Amino acid sequence: MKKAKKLRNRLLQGMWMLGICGLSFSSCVDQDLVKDLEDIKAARWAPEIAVPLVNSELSMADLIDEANSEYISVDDEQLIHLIYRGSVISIEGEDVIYTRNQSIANVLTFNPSEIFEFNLSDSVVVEREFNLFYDVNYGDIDSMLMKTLDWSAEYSTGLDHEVEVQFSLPSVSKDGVSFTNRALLTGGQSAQVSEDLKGYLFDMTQGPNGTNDLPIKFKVVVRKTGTSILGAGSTINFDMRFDRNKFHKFWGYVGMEDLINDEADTLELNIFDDSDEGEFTIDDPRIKLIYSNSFGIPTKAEFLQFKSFSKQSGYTDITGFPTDLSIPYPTPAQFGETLSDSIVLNKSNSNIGAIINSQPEKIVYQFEASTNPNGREQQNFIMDTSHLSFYLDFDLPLRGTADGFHLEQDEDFDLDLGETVDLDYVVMRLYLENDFPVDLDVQIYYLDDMGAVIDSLFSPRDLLVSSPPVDNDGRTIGFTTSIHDVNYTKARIDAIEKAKQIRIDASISTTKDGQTQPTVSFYEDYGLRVQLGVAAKVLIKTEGE
Amino acid sequence: MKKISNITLALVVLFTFFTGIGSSHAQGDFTIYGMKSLPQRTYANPALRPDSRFFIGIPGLSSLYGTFNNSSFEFDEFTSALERKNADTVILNINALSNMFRDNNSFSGEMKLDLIHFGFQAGPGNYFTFNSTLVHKSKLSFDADLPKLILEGNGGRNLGKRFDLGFDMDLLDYVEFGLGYSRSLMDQRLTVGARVKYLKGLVNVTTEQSDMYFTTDPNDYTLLLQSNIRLNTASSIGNIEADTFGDNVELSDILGLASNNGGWGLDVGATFELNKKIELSAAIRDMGRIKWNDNVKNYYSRDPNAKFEFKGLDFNTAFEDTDSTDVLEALADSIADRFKLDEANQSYTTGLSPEFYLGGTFSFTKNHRAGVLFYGDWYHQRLHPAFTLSWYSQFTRVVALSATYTIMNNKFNNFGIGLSLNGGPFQYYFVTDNVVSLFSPNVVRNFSFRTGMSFTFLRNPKDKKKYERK
Repeated sequence: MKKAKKLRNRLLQGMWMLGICGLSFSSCVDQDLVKDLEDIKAARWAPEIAVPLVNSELSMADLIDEANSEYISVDDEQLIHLIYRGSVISIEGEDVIYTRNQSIANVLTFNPSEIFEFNLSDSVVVEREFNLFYDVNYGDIDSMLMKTLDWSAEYSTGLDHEVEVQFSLPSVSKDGVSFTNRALLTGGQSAQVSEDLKGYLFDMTQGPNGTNDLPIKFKVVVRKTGTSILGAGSTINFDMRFDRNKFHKFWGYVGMEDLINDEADTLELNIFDDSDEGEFTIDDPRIKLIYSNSFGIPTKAEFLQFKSFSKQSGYTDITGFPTDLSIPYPTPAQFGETLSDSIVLNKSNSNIGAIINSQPEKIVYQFEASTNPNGREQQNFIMDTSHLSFYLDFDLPLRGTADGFHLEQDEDFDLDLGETVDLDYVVMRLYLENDFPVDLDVQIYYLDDMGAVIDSLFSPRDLLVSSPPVDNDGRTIGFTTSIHDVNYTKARIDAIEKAKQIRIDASISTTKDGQTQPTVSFYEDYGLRVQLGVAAKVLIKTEGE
Repeated sequence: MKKISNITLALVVLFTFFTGIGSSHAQGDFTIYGMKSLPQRTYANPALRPDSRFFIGIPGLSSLYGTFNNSSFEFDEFTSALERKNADTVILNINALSNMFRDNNSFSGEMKLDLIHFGFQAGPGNYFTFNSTLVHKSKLSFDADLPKLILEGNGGRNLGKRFDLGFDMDLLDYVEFGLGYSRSLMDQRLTVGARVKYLKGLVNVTTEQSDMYFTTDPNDYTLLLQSNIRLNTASSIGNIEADTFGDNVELSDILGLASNNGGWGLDVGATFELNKKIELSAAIRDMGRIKWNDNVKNYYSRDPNAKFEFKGLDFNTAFEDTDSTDVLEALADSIADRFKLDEANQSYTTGLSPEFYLGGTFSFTKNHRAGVLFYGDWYHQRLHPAFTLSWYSQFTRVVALSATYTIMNNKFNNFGIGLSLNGGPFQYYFVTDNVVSLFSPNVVRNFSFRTGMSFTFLRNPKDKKKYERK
C-alpha cells in the first residue's frame, strides 16, 4: 500500500515536472516576429475615402457671370430678364455753365471840389461806382447762389494820409444783408483784404446790361495825417478779384447750345461670345432708352446712328427710334426735381426681334442733345447737381427657344497631385436636380500642350441635365434628376496630369416636345441643385517604400 | 420527454456559456481559488479558508495582484500586416491591421495591493479576516468600427455602413476596508461566509453613455454624424484636470479618508462537502457601489439627439470673404458647436462589477485534487464568463503547486500555475492564470499574477497529523 502511494506520488511529481518543462519549452518568444518588427522601414496605407465636396443650389444669377456688365432683373411675373446696360452718357450742371475767374482794376481820382474840401477841413469823403460784367462761357446770368467764391482786393495810394476804403456789392447779399468790406491805408502803404463769399446770392440784373452785371461801390474817406498835397494827380488804386467761381444754383439763359455733341458708344453683348452654332430666339426682346433730366432747360436729343453687329449679318440698322427726342425738363415750380422718360423698341415697333435672332455681338449708337431748341421760352435754371443722363438697356426677357446653341471655351489646366500621395482610383459622383427648361450636354476635353485631346470627362458623352416638361406658359413642371459617375483609374489620372488645357464644350437646347419646340420661360424660382462627391483610394507611402 | 427538455436546456445553457467565453473582461482568481495553503483565496470566496488558523500578511507586501486583458489580438497577429521586402526591410501594411480587431474590443487592467491583511480562527467554527486593499481598475472598450474607419476609410465597401464609434472608458480607484467572517455548520460540511467592505473612492472616470455613429451615404457621399455622450468624473484629491490634480495632496487624501466618495460592498460564499471526495463551492463577490460626491464633473451632450449632416460646401456662400482654411475652420466650428458638451456637478453612483464563482473539487487523495470552476462577471449589462480546470497538489508542508487551464477572452491557451512555499510560518507565493504570458507575451491576450508574503500559523491540524505520521 505504501509502495503504491509512493509510486502514485512519484507519478504526480513527474507529471508536474513534465508540465513545467513543456510550458517552458513552448514559451519562447517568436524571434522571427521580433526581427520583423525591428526591420520595419516603411509603411503602406491605402484608405478609401468618400467625401461630399459641393452642395449648391444654383440660380440663374449664379449661372450667368455678373462681371461682364450684364445683370439679372426679375419682373412682376418672376420672369428673369437678362439686361445689358450701355455706358451712361451724363452731363452735369457745372459742365454746362461755368464762370471764369473775374477781375477788375481801376483808379480813383479826386475832382476839384473834393480837393477843396480836403484843404478846407483836412478830410474829404469820395464815393464811386463801377460795374463788373461777369464773364461766362455762354448765356446770360440772372442770378447765382455761390457754392465757392473767393473775393480779394488790393488797395494802394501815394498819399501819406489816412485813407479808409469802404467797399460794397449792393446786389450781393446773404440772408438779406449786402456784402461790404473796409480797408485802412496809412502812411502811403497798400492794403490787402479778402472774403469767402460762399452762400452769397449774386443778383446780376441790377446793372446797365440787365444780366451778368455786378455793381461795385466805393466810399473813400481821406483824413489829413501827413504832409502830402492832395491834388489832381492824387490817386487810390484798387485791384479786385473774384476767384474759384462755382455756383450752387444758376438762373438765366444758356442759349441754343449743344449739350452732347455727336457722342458715340458701343454696347458689348457677350452672351453670344463663345457660341458658334445653333439657333436662339427671344420671344420679346427690347431696347430701352432711358433719359432723365433735372436741368431747367428745354432740351432736344437726336439719334445719329443706331446699329447692331453680328457675325451672321454684319451691321444692321435698328429701326423704330424717333429722329428727334424731346427731353422733359422741370419748370420753375419743379426746381430741383428730376424728370425721366424712356423709349422702348420691341418686336412691334422695330426690327429688334430679327436683330436678336442674328446673335449680335454689339450695339453701336451715336446721338446729340441741344438746349433751347425753340429759343428763349422760359428762364433757364441749373443746380450744380443737375444732370442730363441717357442709359441704353438691352433687355432680354428669358422667354424663347434655343436649339443646339453651342458654346466652346478653353481654359488653362494644371493638375499636380505630388509625389507622396498616389491615387489608385477616383470616382467623382455628380448628382443634379434641374428645374430649368433646358437639355444641357457638356463635355470637358483634356488637351496636351499641342492642343491634342488626351481624355474627356464623360465617357460616353451624355446629357448632363435634361429638361422637365413645360406647361402652356413655358413654366417647367417638376424637375429632373441625374447621376453621373466619372471614374478615373491610376493610368487615367497619370495621363490627365499631363494635360495643359481643358476645353469646355456645351450644347444647350430648350425643352422639346417631340418634333416641336415650345417657347419656354426662365423664372426666378428655377434652380439647379448640384451635389458633387468624390470617392478615392489613396495610396500613402512613407519613405523607403 | 422531460429528459429531452432537460438535455436541451442544458445544451442551451452550455452553448450560451461557452459562446460568452469569447468575450472579454474576465479577470477572476482562477488558480488561487483552489490553493488551500493561501489565505488570499478568501478574496475569491469568503467561505474558503486557508489551512492556517492564524495568518498575517506583511503590510504592503502580502498581496500584489495584477491583470491585463486584451480581447482583440495577440502580438503574433502583427505578422499578417508585415510584408518582408528583402533581408533587412519590412513594410507595414496598415490596412491589414484592421483584421486584427474583433467586433468588440477591450483593453482592461486591474491592480490590487494589500495594505493590511490578517485572519484568525475563533472557536471551533468561526473564522475572521480583515483587509485593507488599494484597488485600481481600468478599461477601454470600443467596437471594431473605430479602427476600421481609421484604417480602411469610409469609402469602398464601407459606403453606407453605420460605423459605431462609441467607446467605454472606465477608471476606478478606491480603498477597500473588508471584514470577513465564515462559519462552519452541519458538522463542518457546510461553510458559509461573507465579507463586508467599506469603500472609499479615490478616482473615477465612467462612460455612462457613448453613442457615436458615422455614416456615408452610398449615393451622394453625404456624411452623417451622430453623438450622445455622458461622461462622469470624480476625485477625492482634486478635479481631474492637469492644473489642479495633485496639488497639495496628503496621505489622507490618497486614502480618500476625508472625502465623501464612499460606498459599501459585499462578498458572500459557501462551500459544501458533498462527501469525502467531492466539495462544491459558490461565491458572489463585489456586490456594491460607490457614490461619488466630491469633485464631481459630468460632461454630457447638450443635445442628446444631435446630428450633423454634411452634404458639401455651398459655393454660393462658403467662400464669401474667406479662404479655404477659414471654410474648414468654420466647418469644424459647426461640428464642435453641434456636439457641444455641457458640464454639471451632479453626484453619481458606480457599481463594482459583481463576479460569481461556481466550483467543484474532487480529491484523489488528501493532498491531490482536481477542480472545475465556472466564473462570470457582470459588466455593462453583459456577462463575461470563464471556465477553468485545475489541479492542486500539496507535496509537503513546504511546497504546494496548482495548475489550471482556463478558457477566456477568445483564447484557449491560458495555462495557470500557482506555487506556495512555506518556511516555518513564513510563506511566499506566486500565482498566475496564464503562465505563457511570462515567456511568450506575443501569443497571449491575458496576463495576470498574484504574489506576496505572509506569516501563517497553526496550519490545518489534520495535515499536521498526516505529516507527523510520515
